[in-house]
Amino acid sequence: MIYANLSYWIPLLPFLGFLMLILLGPLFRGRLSGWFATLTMALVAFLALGLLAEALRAAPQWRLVGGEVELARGALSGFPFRLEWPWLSIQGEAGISLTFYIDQLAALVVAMVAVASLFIHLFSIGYMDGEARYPTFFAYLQLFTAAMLTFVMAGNFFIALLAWEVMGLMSYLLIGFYYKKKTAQAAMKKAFLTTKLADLGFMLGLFWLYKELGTFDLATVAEKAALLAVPVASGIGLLVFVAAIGKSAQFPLHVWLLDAMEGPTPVSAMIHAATMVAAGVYLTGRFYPVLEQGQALGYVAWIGGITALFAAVLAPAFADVKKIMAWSTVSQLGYMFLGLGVFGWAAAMFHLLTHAFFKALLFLGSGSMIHGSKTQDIFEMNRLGRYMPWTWVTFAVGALALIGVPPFAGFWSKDLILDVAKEHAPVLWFIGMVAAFFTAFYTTRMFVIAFHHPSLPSPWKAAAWNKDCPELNLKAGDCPPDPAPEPDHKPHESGAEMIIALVALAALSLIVGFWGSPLFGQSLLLFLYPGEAPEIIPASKLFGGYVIGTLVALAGIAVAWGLYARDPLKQRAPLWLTQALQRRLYIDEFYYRVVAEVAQWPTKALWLLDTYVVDVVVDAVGYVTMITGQALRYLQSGKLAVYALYIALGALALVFLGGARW
Amino acid sequence: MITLGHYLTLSAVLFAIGLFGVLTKRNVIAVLMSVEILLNAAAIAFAATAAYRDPLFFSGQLFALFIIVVAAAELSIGFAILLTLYRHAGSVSTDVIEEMRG
Repeated sequence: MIYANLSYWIPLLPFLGFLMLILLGPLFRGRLSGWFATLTMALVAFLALGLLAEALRAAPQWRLVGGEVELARGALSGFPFRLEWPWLSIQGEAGISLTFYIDQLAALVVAMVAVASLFIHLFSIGYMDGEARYPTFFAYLQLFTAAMLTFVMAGNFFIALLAWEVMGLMSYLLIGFYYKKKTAQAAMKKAFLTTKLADLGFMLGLFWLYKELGTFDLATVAEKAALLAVPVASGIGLLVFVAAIGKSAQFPLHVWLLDAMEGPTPVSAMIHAATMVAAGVYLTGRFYPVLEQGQALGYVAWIGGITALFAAVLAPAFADVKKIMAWSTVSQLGYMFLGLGVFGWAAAMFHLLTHAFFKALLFLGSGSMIHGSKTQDIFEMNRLGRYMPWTWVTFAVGALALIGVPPFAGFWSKDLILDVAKEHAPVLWFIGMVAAFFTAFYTTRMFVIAFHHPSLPSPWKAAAWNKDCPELNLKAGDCPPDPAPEPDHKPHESGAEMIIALVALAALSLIVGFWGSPLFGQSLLLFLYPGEAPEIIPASKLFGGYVIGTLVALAGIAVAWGLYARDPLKQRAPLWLTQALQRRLYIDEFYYRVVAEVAQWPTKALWLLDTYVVDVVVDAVGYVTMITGQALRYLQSGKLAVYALYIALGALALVFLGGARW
Repeated sequence: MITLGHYLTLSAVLFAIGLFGVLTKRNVIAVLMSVEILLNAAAIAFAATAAYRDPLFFSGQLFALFIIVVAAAELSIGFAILLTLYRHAGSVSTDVIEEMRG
């Protein structure tokens, strides 16, 4: 219980780190602030792993016996861990308490966030070296981490909402870290507005939930969810799910994530790949009882399935390594929602865990590629495999995990989701398989072109359709495309901190998958076991899915290799298709041109009301006063005698009108 | 026999003369003199009414005395203003103080 009792330090430490760095930033010279923040995160990771170990010991133990799950030992007393302080109370009564609630899922995700965050901090020390506002960057990262950890540990949804909003703010600030860049300014606004719109759903859902159940408490809500009427539960669940869609960049609110890549690469790795975007999945997981009661899981599944396929199809049309990764993140988050929607709760959380590590790895790897080659365009990268061996190896591990090749992490978790989908929704299983094929395709394409090809002129930088489309540039004005690196630029391997972070994450991407695999008795899934779990399938039944999944992944790799190894520049798809894909199926343009326009209508109506009603009334008051004044000014002649006459007449009037009596 | 009516008529005539002077004169000195006539018209009315209607008490006479005192005070202030006006504008005509015209 030591770690559980100390667990409030887990979000508190990075918060204190944030205060230190933001207040005393200029005192930290050189890389000191980076090391300070990393050290804080090391401490947090230590506490978080201790907490996970404790949770593993204290959680109920389940055993898999002949395909059936049976309880081996109940939970130890005091589990799930709960820390509670009075907060927002009126004379000690009512109000909302500050609660930390650590069950199996929270312990797992806290450990994931802390560890991933530690390595991303470590990587940033080298990556951000020499940037202006170096301490501020780490201060922001620290506050973000604190908010994310608070969100995961929050014992009631009110605190979760607060932390959720802080995360949104830090995402905004970090996307716009290069605030002098016009596109970054536009991207930060786009991200904030999109997620903020979605957050309204979270708030409304919470208010409604409170009205129905009278509590925000996570455990109580889970218990009482069955008391909700089906339409009510469905309404609440879907409102909150809207917030999850926004935060996790699911269709149709996915538009912000691609542009969020304007931020520094470690930020993309941390916030827009490993942690914050996964918060939507986590939140949906926490609202699972309500969604289940409301029979609304089908929507979750379909949104996830559509997004997984849609993003995976778009990814091959992009040349910017970070944007490809962003599509990949959108797609993988879609898988998680797909898993949640087909009752594969533990499978989705398993994928959340593995994805966090391999996607952080891939993003940091692409950061290393960008650092070494001075460009983000995969076509302009010059045979990086030759110059950056460490990045090559680690990126390959990440890519194989993403593609889902055994035995890497993504293989176990993604196939598990697809297996569950096959049981409950064969159509979604098929969609997931097609998306898996495209995942393998775009990952291989990126890998081959960036690491094994000499630099080429980037084909789409100056494409005609990009010029007459200001929306692709976030309407940020006439921004020229990023310059290509010098022709004789020799890529170089990154520094030691970055390599260490990459290697550590690569190791995790290799190892973590085994935890939930049948090779180790699916122990992770049994740990998370929520009472019923269709994803705990005997290994013999899983085998068929594994074979198909592997074959699809290999087919994707083979096709991409065949197409791109020789001649990456050849235009194979019809031009209109490439254009449509690069313009993101025109969804962003639709939002800018149609939705934004329609959203202006009420504003314009109010403007007309203001101009033609309110203003007219106000002006009329002014004119009447002015005209009366103009007429009355002639009374003020300035002549003494006239004033005396007024006095005399006034006196007379008083005498006669006032009724003088004789 | 002189009745109250005669006194009041005298008072009214004086008042009319004073009012005419105030309204028509341009010279501030003349205006002030007219004001004096107005005050004295009122004083006569008070004193006469008191003598005929209320012989036991002196309230009317007292008012007449008050009016004399007020007139003295008014004159001293009036002339002080007049002097200042003369220094300021170089004239004592009411025409020079038209700054209030709207």
